[in-house]
Amino acid sequence: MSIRLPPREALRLFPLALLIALCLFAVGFWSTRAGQEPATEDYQQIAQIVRAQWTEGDVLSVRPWWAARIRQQLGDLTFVSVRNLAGEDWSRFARLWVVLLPGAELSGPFADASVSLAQEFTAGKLRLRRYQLAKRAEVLFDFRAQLQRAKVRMRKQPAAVACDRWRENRWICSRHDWNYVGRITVELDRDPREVIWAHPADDPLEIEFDGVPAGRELRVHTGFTPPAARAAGGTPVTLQVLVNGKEIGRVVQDNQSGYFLHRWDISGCGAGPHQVTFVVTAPHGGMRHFCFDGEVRG
Amino acid sequence: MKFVARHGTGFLALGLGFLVFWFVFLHADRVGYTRDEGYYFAAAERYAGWFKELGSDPGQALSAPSIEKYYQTNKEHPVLVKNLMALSYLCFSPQRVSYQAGQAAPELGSFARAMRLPAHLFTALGAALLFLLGSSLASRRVGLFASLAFLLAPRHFYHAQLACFDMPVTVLWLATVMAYRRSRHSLGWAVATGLIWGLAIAVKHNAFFLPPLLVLHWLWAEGKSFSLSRQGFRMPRIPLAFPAMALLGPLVFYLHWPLLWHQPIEHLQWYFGFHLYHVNYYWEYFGTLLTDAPFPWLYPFAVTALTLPAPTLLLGLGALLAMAGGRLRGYFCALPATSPTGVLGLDVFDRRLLILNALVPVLIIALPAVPIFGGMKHWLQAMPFFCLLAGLCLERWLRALPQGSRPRLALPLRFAAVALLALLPSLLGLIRVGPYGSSFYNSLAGGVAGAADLGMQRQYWSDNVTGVFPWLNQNLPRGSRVYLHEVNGESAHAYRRDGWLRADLRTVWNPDHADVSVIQYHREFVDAEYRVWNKLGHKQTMYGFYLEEVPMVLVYSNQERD
Repeated sequence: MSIRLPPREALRLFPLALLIALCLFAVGFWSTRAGQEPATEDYQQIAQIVRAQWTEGDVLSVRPWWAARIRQQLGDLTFVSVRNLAGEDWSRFARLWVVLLPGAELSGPFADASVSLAQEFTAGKLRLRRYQLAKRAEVLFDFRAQLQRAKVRMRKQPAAVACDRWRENRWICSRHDWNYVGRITVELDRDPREVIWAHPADDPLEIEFDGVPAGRELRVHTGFTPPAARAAGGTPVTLQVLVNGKEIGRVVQDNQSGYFLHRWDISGCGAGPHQVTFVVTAPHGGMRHFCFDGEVRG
Repeated sequence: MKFVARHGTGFLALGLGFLVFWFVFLHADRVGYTRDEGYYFAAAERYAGWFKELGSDPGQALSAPSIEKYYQTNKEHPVLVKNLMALSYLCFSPQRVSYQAGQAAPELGSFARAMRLPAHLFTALGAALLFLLGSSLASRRVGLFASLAFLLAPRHFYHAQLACFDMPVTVLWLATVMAYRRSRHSLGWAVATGLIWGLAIAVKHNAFFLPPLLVLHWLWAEGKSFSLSRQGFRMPRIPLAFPAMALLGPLVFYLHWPLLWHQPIEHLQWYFGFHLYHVNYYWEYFGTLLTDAPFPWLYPFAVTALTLPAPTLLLGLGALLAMAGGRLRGYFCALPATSPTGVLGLDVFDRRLLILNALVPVLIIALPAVPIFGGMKHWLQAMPFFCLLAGLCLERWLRALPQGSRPRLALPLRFAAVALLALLPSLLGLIRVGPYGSSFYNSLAGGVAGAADLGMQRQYWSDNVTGVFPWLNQNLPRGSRVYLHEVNGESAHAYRRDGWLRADLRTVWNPDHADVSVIQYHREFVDAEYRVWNKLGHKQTMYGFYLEEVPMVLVYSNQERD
């Protein structure tokens, strides 16, 4: 059996046909772009629906991840901006609202109905979905939220230096602008994360919380800011977690980009309340823009 | 009439240049001021002082202290374009402007209009030259197509507006190559090649890559003339343009830059050192922030594929394919039997000249150690040649069609029809992206929104900030402190001076000190926005400027909410 090629003359027409097809595609593409954009009224309508039904434990997000216009109306609500909605940990929330721009779709558990779609609305060119999330975790203590209650010090020799000046959202440790322990929002693993900045100097940094209620689990995320993770020769940072003075775990955070979850069972630590101390150390403090968050769950 | 007929192509080139100039000149008022322009505005204004002094006291002006005083500003670039800007500024811009609070600018945009004028003239010259080169190599229609394909590509058009060096150096690169091409048979053109190349390096350092390219071309085009035998080594005649470039280029470079007149070695050392060890600015590429070498070699090819209008891209690639692939060429691009010349109607000299010029500037950026910031502007010099190849390819593909009964008429009509269709996406893309050309991505990328999905650099140079200026001007209380993020002080000054931004609004350099933060999305600087979120405790914007719903510039109130 032999394969017959198209006549040579016909093949010569192929590039021109391809060009014309591409031109028509491109003309069609540009001609239809304007008609695909949602109107201001669409956003307003979506905002009205969300506000009318918003309850404690709700969270809002958008698809595609970069969309931001809805924040003009709803940016004061709990808004999570992440690239991978399907891979995100939503356990702190009861319901998830998602605003979808034209053409945007959800994937993973949101597409295969593992997460239950409770409501769907359309407002002009925008779609709005509300998902009922799995059982909401009981967060008993959020270390970032309670940072102002913490005692912060640098373990220097011969005596520790207290970071006891609270300014705006941070404990100031010295006149150096990086030398503080405070609430920041920073890019970790390509998404903005609300964490505690705990840049160790050459001496260990201690952040101590009293009155932490007893719980089942202590969860911590760790990470380096992008410039720190890129820094050549950046040393690892060690985070020790102590409950009532006893180490329950430690994390050696290598110099890499990410937002890493660590979990410890603290159900055996007693009835509480507890004293929880985080000790952050690095062999060399240069560019160690270390960040973490933490919570105790029931 | 005979004179007109004999020089018809020249008149058409002149007319085209004139139209292009007005088109660019009138559109440029809508384009914001880039960071680099801010520096060049300041430099040109400073150099204008030297020209004034040259007029009033030449002896003093030519002294070393005076030159140092005026020309230390922005000494990392040669001064040909900035000198022209300075002269244009002296001729056409209001000189002393004190914009006290509430006082309107004397004439909206007149300062930047004067500063950008030389770049617009260069663009017009480039359009005319490309038309002439196309006419010389093939036909007027090919030249016209190449010229329009080059200019209407939205990224190219964007750079054509700016008082920067990328378009001028592209035009002078093209002019040098054209002169080199003609210098084969003319001493005069050889001299012109040297002089024009001198002007090119007086614009920007990219032009230093041109002599190696031309030597490479000579070796490739004349390769068969080299021989080594018992009779000795034989080589073809060295083009006269080469010694002319070697002698006249540095001379022009030296003469154009007053800073070199007194301490040439020190200043040259500093200048070359600056560019040899130039820091790389971070750049987003398929979701990754490229920070340090080695950079992906595919980078300039991918960016070109996503930013050049798709039909132009296909045609240019078709031409390169036609030149490279024997068997494919046989099927797709073979010339009619009557064609007197080679592939795409070009002889070996021209063909290889076009190939090298269309590829080498891109290949330079593809080297993993070469900094990649600045998007496609750093290989803009390749694009006139690429667009010319596109025009030649279109001609060839149309010639492959059955000729019909009136072939002489059929081909121009077919060319016009398909060329219009092929240029239409460029025009539509241009209209769509408007004055925000650094954000343009083609239909293959899915436009601005598609590029955001892909994780490509969304904008650069901060000029998209003008998208929120009308709102700021209309809504901010008098005397508000505004953090303009990536807008530098020089550009902010020019914005107020030209009436883009209300004169009473005060710019501050830290969002913590601002009443309003104007954040431009730039992956490298997202922490600026996160800092605002952190301070405010929410993510609510007051206003935003979006392209295809993709956020470009977001405005936050730093005031505590009720």
